[in-house]
Amino acid sequence: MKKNTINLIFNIFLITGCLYLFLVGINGMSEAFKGLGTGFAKHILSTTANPFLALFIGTFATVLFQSSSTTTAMIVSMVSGGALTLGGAIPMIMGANIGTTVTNTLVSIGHINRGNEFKRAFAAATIHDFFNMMTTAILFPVEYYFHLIEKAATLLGSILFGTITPDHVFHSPVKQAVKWGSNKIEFIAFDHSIIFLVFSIALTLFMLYSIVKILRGLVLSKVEIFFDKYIFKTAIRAMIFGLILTFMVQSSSITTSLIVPLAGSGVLTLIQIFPYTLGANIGTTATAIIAALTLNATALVAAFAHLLFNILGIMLIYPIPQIRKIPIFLAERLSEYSIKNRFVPIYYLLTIFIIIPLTIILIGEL
Amino acid sequence: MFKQIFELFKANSLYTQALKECYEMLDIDLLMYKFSTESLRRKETVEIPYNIYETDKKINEFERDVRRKIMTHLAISGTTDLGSGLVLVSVVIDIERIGDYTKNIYDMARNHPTKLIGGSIEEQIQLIEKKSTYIFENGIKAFKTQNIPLARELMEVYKKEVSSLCDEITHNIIAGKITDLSTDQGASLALYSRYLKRIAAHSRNLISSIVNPFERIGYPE
Repeated sequence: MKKNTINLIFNIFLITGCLYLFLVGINGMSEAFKGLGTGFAKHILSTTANPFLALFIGTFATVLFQSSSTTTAMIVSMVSGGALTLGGAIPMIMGANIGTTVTNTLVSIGHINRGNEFKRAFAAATIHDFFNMMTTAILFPVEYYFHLIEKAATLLGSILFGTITPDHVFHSPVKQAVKWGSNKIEFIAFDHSIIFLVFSIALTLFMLYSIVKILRGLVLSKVEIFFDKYIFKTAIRAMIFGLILTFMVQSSSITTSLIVPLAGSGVLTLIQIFPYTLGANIGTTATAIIAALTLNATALVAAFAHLLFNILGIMLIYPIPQIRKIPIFLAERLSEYSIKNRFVPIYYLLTIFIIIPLTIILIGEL
Repeated sequence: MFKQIFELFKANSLYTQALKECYEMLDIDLLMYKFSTESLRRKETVEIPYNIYETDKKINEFERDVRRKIMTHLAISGTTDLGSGLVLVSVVIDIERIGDYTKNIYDMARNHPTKLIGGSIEEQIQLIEKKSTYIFENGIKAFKTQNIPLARELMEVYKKEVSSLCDEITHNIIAGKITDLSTDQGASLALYSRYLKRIAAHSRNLISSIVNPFERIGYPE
């Protein structure tokens, strides 16, 4: 057998193992939240009862993890464990969408000393920020007053599974195996809910990191030819490519960061990159859906809410040229200011991703 | 659309594509070289069955394509091919320059429609032509097969037999030491000698990438 084939088989086994342990971690978190009792749940529920606060918690948590997949996977496990309602989860998911854009913006800062290259790279990174902020600015008030995404996600869940309750648990051999693993973690944690929660979070984070790392190595060298001319010729192809690639590597941070140097060097233009990042937004929702499949119907509805939020955002902004131009205009304008004053990107990063979320969270906690 | 996507699945890595494009550029350069030198030195008319200008534009497009492919390859697939990628980006400039000099020779042929004759330095001119063609043709072979002994031999030929002779001819014409040449003949031969030297020098740069580390591409071993 060829060395490459052996490597491939080994990596597939490795990914399967990591995916299993990731699901064990998610399940463990859900169980640990239940074990923490009503006091803890009440505290989380009262904090996230304010959707505005929940939005910025989602943003800040994702900035810390540098991965919306991690945050949303944790959110669905909290929904499953009863520590978070669907209504509280949706603003957090919206916030996670904003927070995830920090990674590619940080990558673009690496080009800061190279004039026009930085201008192109920074615009390519911040177009994702502006699109996600704009989507949130439109859909957050709609959700606040009309619960549109919650209703749509619940409807989708009801069509697929009938009634949506936390008691509606999925049954499958995978679920049984995950439950078995989660029980073992609980045993190792001396049946102590806080230790169990810490172990489960650590396992989830480490396994998601490992999955992304292995998939990145496995997938990217095979797909580099798709970054050449053909795929980026039309918006729909670029969007589908962004979606599939993000699904394959389970991280929009990676797929959107990849194109930053290509944009910087002028290989890809801002117009070509834009639909690709939107595809990445949809592709990244897969992690939470996979995680929720081993939990319960409510968790899956929360994961669907993430998917619907991103699809709605694209439907509202991308098809109308005048609206579509807004994030492009904002990204270009900010990058123009940024090459005139090198502190602008630093101020922007600190303000949007640290100072505003942290200030609102701290005020909300008072 | 699906056919094109399927074709992409079967395609080589961008690095391999870029390398193949460099090979193709070299083959085109060689054709351009043969047609342009033939037009200048062996034909009484300027017409040749080859569009040098269109081909030169194609070479320029190839150069941009190679750069874009290497950039994308390095950005997506990491640093495994960093060294060889940078080498290609460097030598593609030499390959493009060879195309430019062959175009310059053809430009000269158009302005000197009759056969260019070397007068008293004809033998020296023929020797430079022979050696430059040898370095160029075999340089392509050495680059494609990564033949280190052949590359070393060609670098020696350039250093000992081409560079100094080309300079000698040009300097002698400028200094007025060659008296049997008309003005147009003298100017043309000085330029021709210079162009041949540049073609051989860029071929030397190309093959030095096989022998030398990255920072010494274009320099002696």
